[in-house]
Amino acid sequence: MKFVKCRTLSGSPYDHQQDCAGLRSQLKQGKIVDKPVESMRVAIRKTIFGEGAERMVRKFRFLDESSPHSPWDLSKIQPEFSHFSTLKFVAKESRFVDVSGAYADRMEYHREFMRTQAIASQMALKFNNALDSVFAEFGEPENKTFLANQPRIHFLSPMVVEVQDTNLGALAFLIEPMLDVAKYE
Amino acid sequence: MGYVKGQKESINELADSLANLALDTVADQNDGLGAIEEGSEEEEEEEEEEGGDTDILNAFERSAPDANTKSFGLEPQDYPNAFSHYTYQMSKKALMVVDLQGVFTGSYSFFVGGLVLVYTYICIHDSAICDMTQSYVTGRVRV
Repeated sequence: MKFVKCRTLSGSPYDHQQDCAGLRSQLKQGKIVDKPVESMRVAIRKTIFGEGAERMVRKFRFLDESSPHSPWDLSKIQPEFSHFSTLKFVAKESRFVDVSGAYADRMEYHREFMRTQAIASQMALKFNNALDSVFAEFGEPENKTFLANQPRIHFLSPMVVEVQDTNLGALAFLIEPMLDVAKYE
Repeated sequence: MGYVKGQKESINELADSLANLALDTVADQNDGLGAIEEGSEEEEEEEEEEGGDTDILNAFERSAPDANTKSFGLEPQDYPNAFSHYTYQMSKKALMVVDLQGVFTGSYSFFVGGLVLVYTYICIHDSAICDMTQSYVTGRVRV
C-alpha cells in the first residue's frame, strides 16, 4: 500500500537513526515496499513548477549514471549532453509542512498522501472491474472495438525518495511520474 | 354504505340515470365514438405491457453500442464524475473521491486494460470527519 525508499545517496549514515529503524521495521512487516529506482543520483529544480491547494510541485529527474557525461557536481553539467534518465518525475511537498522540518512530520504528510492515493487506486480497480462487467453485456464481436476504446481510471503510484544532500542533510521527497502538462486538466 | 335520511331515493334515481347513460354510451359506441367496454381494459393493459417491453427493448437497442456510432453517448470527461459517484455508493456513502486531476492518455494500456485516464492529486471526503470547526486539508481521510 505504501511505497517508501529508505536510502542515502552518499552512503553517509542517517542523522535520524530511530526513524530509519522504524521504517526498517515497517519494511519487514510489509507495510512499506522498497521499490527500485533508476538511479541513486537525482536533480531537483529549485523553482516551483505548479501549485495546488495543499502542495507545491517541483520537477524531479534521476540522473543517468550510465552516461559518462553525468557529473557529480551538477554545476558542471554540459548542456549538449543528456544527463537524465528518460522518465520525468515531479516532487511534491506540502505547503504547510516545512521540507527541512521534523522528519516525522514530513513522513506523516507523505504517508497521508499515499494513503489517499492507495484508497483511490483500490476503488479505481473495482470501478474498472464494474465497467468490464457492464460492458460484458454487450460483448458481441462487433462491439469489441467500442469496449476497447472505453477509458479506465488509473491513479499514479507515488513513492518517497530519501535524498542525502551535503548541505541540507536528509530530505524526503514524494515523487510520481510527470503527466503531460498540455493535457492536464 | 350509509345514507342520509331521504337519500335512498335519490341514489336510486342516480342508478337509473347511470343505467340510461350506459345505454347511451353503447349507442355512442355504435356510432363509432369509442366507448370503453368492460373487459377490453385488460386487453389494453396487456397490449400496453407488451408494447412497453418492446419500447424498452427498442430503446435499449438504440442505446447499445453500434459499430457505426461506437458510443453510448459517453465521453471520457464523463468518467471522473461517474467514478466519484461510484466511490460514494460503493463505500455506502462513507467516502467520496473528488477533485480528480490528470490526463486522458488516449493510448491503450494492457496493464489497465483499456484507454487510460490517469489521475493524481485527489481528495477523499469522509463522512466520519464532520467537524466543521476544523479546517481539514484536502485529501484528508480517516485514519
